[in-house]
Amino acid sequence: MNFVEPARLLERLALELPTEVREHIVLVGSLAAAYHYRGQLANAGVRTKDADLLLRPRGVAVEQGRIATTTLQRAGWRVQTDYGGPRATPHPIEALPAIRLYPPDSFDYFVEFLTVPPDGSDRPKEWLEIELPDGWWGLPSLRYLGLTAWSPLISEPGIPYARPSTMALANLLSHKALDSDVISKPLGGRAIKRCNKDLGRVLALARLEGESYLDWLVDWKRALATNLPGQTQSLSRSVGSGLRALVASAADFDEAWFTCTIGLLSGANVSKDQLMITAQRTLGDLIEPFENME
Amino acid sequence: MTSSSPSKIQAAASSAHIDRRAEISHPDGVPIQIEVRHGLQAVRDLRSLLLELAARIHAASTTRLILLLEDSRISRERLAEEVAAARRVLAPEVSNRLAVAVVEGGHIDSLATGGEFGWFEPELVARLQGLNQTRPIPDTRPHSHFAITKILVGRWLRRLEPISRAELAAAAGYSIPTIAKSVSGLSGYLVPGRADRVGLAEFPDKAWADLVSRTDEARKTTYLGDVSGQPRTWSYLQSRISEALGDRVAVGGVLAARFWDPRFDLSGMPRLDISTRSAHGEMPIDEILRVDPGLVPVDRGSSAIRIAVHGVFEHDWSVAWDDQRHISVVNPVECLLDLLEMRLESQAEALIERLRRGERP
Repeated sequence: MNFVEPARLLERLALELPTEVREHIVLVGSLAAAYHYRGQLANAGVRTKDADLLLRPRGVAVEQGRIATTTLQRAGWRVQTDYGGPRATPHPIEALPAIRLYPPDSFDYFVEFLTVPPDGSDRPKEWLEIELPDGWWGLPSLRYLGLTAWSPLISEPGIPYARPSTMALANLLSHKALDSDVISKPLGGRAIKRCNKDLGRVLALARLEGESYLDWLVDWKRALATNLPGQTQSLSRSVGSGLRALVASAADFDEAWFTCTIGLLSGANVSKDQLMITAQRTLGDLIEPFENME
Repeated sequence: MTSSSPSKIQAAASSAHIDRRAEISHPDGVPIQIEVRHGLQAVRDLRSLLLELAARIHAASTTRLILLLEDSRISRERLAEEVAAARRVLAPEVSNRLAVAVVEGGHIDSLATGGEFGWFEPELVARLQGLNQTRPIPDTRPHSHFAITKILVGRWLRRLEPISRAELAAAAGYSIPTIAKSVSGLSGYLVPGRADRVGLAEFPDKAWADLVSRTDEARKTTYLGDVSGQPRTWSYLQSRISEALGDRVAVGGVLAARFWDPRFDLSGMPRLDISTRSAHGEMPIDEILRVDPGLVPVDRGSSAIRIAVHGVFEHDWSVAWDDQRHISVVNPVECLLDLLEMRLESQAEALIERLRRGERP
């Protein structure tokens, strides 16, 4: 993982992407969070390997993804083929590689295009096929990723980025239990479970937001009502089960804390006990009221 | 003891008695039952206790239990041996849910935890420390002189007319002879020529100094500090504590001073002072600790003090209602004691002056 300043990335994207595309992308993940809290972070950036760009709505994702990719390639961005290059056919769709582009001047990080899931989908991961001049690629979508596209904030360069509140909600809903899925590359030399990384992110966001995270409840309610109508109540009831499991498991919590210390909370000197207090506060201030919300 | 416990354990119940019981929440949300045994003298009693608690855990699949051995007469080494021996013979599903802590001199300084308590000992210890401080303060009201001086100073500050001895006795909760004895100690400061009624003619410097110097005897204070590295705001703490304790709590210190004197001259707030009322002076520290997991009890001299909780006896409880902030506010005398305890002497003097001039809401 390399140090990336989100403000610079956003400025670059604003410069190089056509206006039409800029309106249809949302920066999500650690760089969106790092941009939002840049005033609080050591060196205003974060260590990461990728910048996730969400194409929305789903109906224009393929078209806008094609424009974005070809435009960036013309500007010198290079396609990552570590996991295999484009396919000759769009099937099987699950085998299509995601579009990952390195900037012209470094291999420190890449941007990856994703999209929101179809309305009402309850599948953990789905793909859209996208044909580029060199072959077939895929746009992945994760079940709760659509929440992060709800009412995005606008960065100073004009590129939308996801609210910390909705990123936290998507991560909580994505991990209602602690499974054994390990992320593809070790972090800080350690193999890390995805659930611990994502739930640790929730705690990092809560820590960075501070007491004003109480306002997240309103965002959560609206984002769910807009994106997943009909599921609001059932989802809100289960929003805290993964975090509770994390708190109860010393080994998993240790991993979550570790990912925070090399990620968004790097340099903040937050001890494991202190992060546990953040977890307890999050459960008491946000999770329990949200679970009991009518 | 549960009805499903073996009869042998029931027979041991007399030696396995518990002095106090309470419940706290584990960080994972599961409640933990706390059993406190004071002054345990015999090893056989410890064995009986452990056996009874093990049976209770066995009978209820979710029960987690901590035995607090307070000021035990058995040596630490022997306790550790006995607990280790008991754990060896208990089934893992029972021993994992049983912890034993030793309390000496009011401090919990060792904890043998079962597997289900996890590694989260610091917060558990902090919560247990808080629980330890929910013990009632000695069930005696402050010295009558203290209570009577407070009432009279309060009336003097509000420029109220002298009060009859019978009314003062009723207000203070002491007999008329006790009132007479205490009032005689204020003789130099009383309104002259009113044998039947009592009121201060001037501020009773000496009596007040005595009152301030004996504050520790008269009202018990517990100090809470923040260990989260990200302290909650005053408004959060105040509103959550008010929510949790309802009419058992009033704000004091700087917040009360600003109520009694809108021109109170102090920017910022060194700490949140709250007074809690109860029939016997016990303090709801564990309830307050539940408001924010970042709070732990700290020593009086700690630089981490965030909240000072003062225990006030029901009979001495006198508060005003702040319509703007929707909170109860301690009376001016308690407020002055809070300020003086924070070494805000000049602000306390200015508050006395303004209150005497009637410059208050």
